[in-house]
This record gives sequence, structure tokens and C-alpha cells, in this order.
Amino acid sequence: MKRAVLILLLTSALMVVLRASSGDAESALRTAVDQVLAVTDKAKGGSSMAAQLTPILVRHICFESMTRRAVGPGWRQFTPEQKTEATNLFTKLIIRSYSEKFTPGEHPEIKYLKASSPGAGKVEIPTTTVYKGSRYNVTYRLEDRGQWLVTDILAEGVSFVANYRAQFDALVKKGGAVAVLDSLRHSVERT
Amino acid sequence: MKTLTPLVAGILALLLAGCATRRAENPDTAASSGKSALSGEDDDWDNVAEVKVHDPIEPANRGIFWFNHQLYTYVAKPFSTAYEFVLPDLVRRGIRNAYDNVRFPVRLVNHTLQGRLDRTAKETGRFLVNTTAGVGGVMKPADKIPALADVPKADTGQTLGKWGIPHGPYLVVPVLGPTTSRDLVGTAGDTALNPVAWLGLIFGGAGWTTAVSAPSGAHGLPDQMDRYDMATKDALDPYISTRTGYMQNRKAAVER
Repeated sequence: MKRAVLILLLTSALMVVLRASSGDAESALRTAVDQVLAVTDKAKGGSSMAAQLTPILVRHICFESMTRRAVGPGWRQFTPEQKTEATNLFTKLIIRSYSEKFTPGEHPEIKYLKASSPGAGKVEIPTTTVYKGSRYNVTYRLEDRGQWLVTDILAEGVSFVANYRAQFDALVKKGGAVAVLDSLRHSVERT
Repeated sequence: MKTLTPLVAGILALLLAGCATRRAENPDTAASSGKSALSGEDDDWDNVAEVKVHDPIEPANRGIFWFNHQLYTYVAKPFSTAYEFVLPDLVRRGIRNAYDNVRFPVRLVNHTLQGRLDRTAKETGRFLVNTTAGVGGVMKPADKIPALADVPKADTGQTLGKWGIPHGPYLVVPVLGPTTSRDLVGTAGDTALNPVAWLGLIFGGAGWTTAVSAPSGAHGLPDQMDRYDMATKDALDPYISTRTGYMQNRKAAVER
């Protein structure tokens, strides 16, 4: 009987903690999305969009983690300087790519669905986003790193990190860190 | 835009250091392991799901991918831009909605074959509401009804996947783009279930099908070009990016 009560209490406590984690993570995501939309609603497009979104995105997305995971085990071959450069280049690439998705005058309607926790300190928040008349399933992966930060975004099931991982894998096999950095520099410089 | 401005680069450097600092402050991550936060040596890359692809004819696929890229860049994109320029957004959305509504049998049959009768019922409800209150499907009032708003799409390739049939080899088809042998069969099934394709049979000529499906192809082009850009524009290897994106998307569609 005592054991049953103990298990019940522990389960309840765990549920409360998980719910609190999901709630905190969702609150962090909503803040980030609201800040982004406050900019995109007023922006006129072009390169200024990326410049305006950069300070917001780097506050809410852990680009260092995204870069490390996108590169994968090949990351071990990178020197500290190469890691820093790869992170900076990948961040620029991601921000440019993300900023280009917004069309001036279009406001997305976002519905936040029930979050789940795949592990301690991790929360996945699915959303449905209606943008320019089309409906998209977008899931945000967040991790508690002192504060809740976005570590991956899945649009219609396509993980941003997994997509780049497949590309980085081939480059790491071909020429290690040098090939990855060359390719990143080339992509960032490309119009 | 070639590069971000030096000011943005400066902000980036400062704030990236901030992300690393926050991580170091987190006892569960870098600080507890005694390792550099920025180096991220907590080996957490196993968290990224591996995307399995069987691509036995990759050189040939890459050749067709290159051909398609030229076709999209020099024919489809200019046409898509002209289509967006000529027709107002509201009209384009109406056409897109109407064609989506006409494809109702594709979704209805596949939801049923997948055993998702709840979705079959909702899809039927959406069709009835959009066809009547939405003036033949030009508008989508069903989106405003919570019970009918979020019905996942269904197609024949997805149904075959739900039945346990594997993807098979990855293929790039001229003009149509990425697919797998399973989805290629699925596309044939979707075509057979699409009322637009029936017109040729009913009226005895491919001209009818072409006449009706031409605007259908045009209305979908801007979206398709957007998706293509999304997969390729900032990719390190556009072929791998498109292939990985396609495989992930189809896997998610089967699991949905």
C-alpha cells in the first residue's frame, strides 16, 4: 500500500515537472515567435529582414548546438577555431535562409498543439501554421540549456538539422573540416 | 545579399558567445562535464535521426536532377512569376482551393484504405462544407470549423507505406522530380482517383484532361517553386538536400 502511494506521488510529481517544463518551453517559443512576427509584420523584405531578425534569433536558437549536430561525429576532427568559424558561417546561412521565407504583408496564423517531452530537458512543440493560404505542420524542438532554446525545426517532417547532416556527412568523408568550411563559405557568399 | 553586414556579424559573435555562456551555466551540460561549452563535446549528435535512402542509380538521378534544375530555373520559375504577376493573390488562392477540393476522392479513398474512418468522415464533411458554403470549393470555410480544420492529407503512396510496403529505390523523374518506386506507383493511383483525369475518359479525348489540368499545374507551380527553393537555395549539395527532405517528408506522411 505504502509503495503504491509512493509510486503515485512520484508519478504525480513527475507529471507536474514535465507539464511545467512543457509550459516554460512553450512560453519561450511563443515569446520568440511573437518577437519574430513583430519584425516581419513591419519589414519590407530584402536583406534588412535578416539584419533585423538576427538579434532575436540568436537569443532563442542555440546555433552552436545545431551546427555541432548537423556536422555530426566529424565535429571531433575540427579545431576550436574551425568549430567557431563553422558555427558562425552556419548561423549566417540559417538566418538568411529563414529570413527569406517571409513575404512582406503576409502574417502566419500559428496554432500551438500539445507538447511532448522525449527526454529530460527536452520538449517538442508541434504547431499548425497557415501561411499564404497553405497549411504547414511545423514542430519546434527545444532544450533546457539554462533557458529554453530552439535546437531544431521540422517543417512537414523535414528536420533542418537532419537535412544538413546528410550534406555534411558527404563533405566530412570527402575532405574533413576543410571541405565543410569551404562549402559553408561558398554557400554564405552565394547570392 | 552576398553577406550579412559587419554590424550583424558583430552582434552574431557576441550573442553566439552568449549561447555558449548559457550552456556553460547549465549544470547538466558543459560545466558539469568540465568541457568547453562552445566545443560542445557532449557527443549529442546521436539525437539526430538518420535518414535512410536507397539510391542505387545516383549518377543517373543526379543527371536528371541537373536537367530538372535547368527546366525549373529557365521555364517553370519565369512562368510561375508571370502567373503570380497576372493573377491577383485572391484569385490564385481560389483556383488552388477549387482544385484541392476536386481531388477529394484521392483523400477519401486513401483515408478509408488506411482504416482511418474518422478522417474519412471529416474529409467528407470538409468537402460538403467547402463545396456548398465555399462556392464549389473556391473558399475553405471548413478551416474555420475546429473539428474539420486539421485533416492530414492522404495519397496512395502514403497508403502503400502504411501497409508496410518499403520506399524502394529513390528516383528522380524528368519534369516531375523526386520520388521512390513506391510513390511512383502511388502517383499512378492518385491520377486514377483524380476526377480531372476522368474527363479524358468521359469525353473521349486527352484534350479535355489537358484543358482542365493545365490551370491545375499552373496554380501549383508557385508553391512547388517555393518548396524547391527551400530545399536547394541554401543547400551545400542541392541534390542531397532535396533527396533527404523528400525522404523525411514521406516518412512523416506515413507516420502521421
